[in-house]
Amino acid sequence: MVLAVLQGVSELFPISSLGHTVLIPPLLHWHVDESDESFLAFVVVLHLGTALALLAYYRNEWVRIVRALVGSIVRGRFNGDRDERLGWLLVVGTIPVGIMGVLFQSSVRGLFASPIPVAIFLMINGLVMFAGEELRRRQRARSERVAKPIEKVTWVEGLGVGFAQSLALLPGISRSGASIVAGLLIDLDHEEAANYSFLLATPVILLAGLLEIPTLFKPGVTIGPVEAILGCVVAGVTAYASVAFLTRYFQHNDLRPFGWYCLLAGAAAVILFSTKVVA
Amino acid sequence: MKSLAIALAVIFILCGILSILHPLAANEMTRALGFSSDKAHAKHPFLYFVLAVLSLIWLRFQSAAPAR
Repeated sequence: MVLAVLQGVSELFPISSLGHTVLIPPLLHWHVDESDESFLAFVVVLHLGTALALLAYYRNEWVRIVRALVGSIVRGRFNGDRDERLGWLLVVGTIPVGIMGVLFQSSVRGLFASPIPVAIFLMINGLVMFAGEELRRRQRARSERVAKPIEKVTWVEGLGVGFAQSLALLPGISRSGASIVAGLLIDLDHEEAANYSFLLATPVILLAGLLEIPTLFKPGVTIGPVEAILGCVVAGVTAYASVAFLTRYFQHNDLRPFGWYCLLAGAAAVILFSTKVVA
Repeated sequence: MKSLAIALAVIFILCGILSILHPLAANEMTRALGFSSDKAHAKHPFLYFVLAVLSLIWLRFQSAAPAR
């Protein structure tokens, strides 16, 4: 259940859920075998819970987006509608992470999924958030640009946010952190960038969960239906509360507190693991 | 652009078919395309067929666009 809460919070907060999944168990002396089929199956359930929470939170947006997408395919042309534009930007932004995830996920995680590289990437994640905030401040100061609405985002910019999101394949780099920073750099405000990031994450998390469902039925998986449903519900409720908090938070605040957290947590983890205080 | 959309759709459909066939009859060509493991992957065919559908949707938009 602690893992379910951790997943629900860290998947949406810009602090890297995967990084925390690698760092927290050894820090707390949990004996978790992350290659164990039962553990992987439980992670699938938690992802499904998170994705369902995102779908529930943005249910009205998704209904409008899907309707607008189907309408534009039937017509064979765009009509400039906000939901239609947002829908196609989400499609374009999902392509890079889809391709890179399917082709490179296993090899990248195999290379970097040990505590010290993950802790270093967590620090880089913090620095990226600081750099994003600073670049945005300079852009604003130099050209007095104002935040633009999502329907003004170009296809290339949408693709760029998608590529930024795919950096989250590196354990320690946050999916939402990278895509919010990319959103800020294309002149979205914090609230719009966060909403866009969460909408962009929904199909990725949902599809990643759905495509891994066969894992639940592999021989040797010892997770019972009660544990699975409970894990899914706890992760879902926590994720729903997280997205509700973050969308309000980003109305008036920025990424720097998360940047400090990642920088300090990453530095502490590097020290603890490299000095063998934690095995 | 229409011909590019058609070409991409054909390429992705072929890759999708190859990614299904690869675990059944692994060979150098499929390995060269990145199917390194001989075990069945659900994700690869899914990805290629989604990309093929997106290429066809792009073709639909190109076909409906007025000629310049």
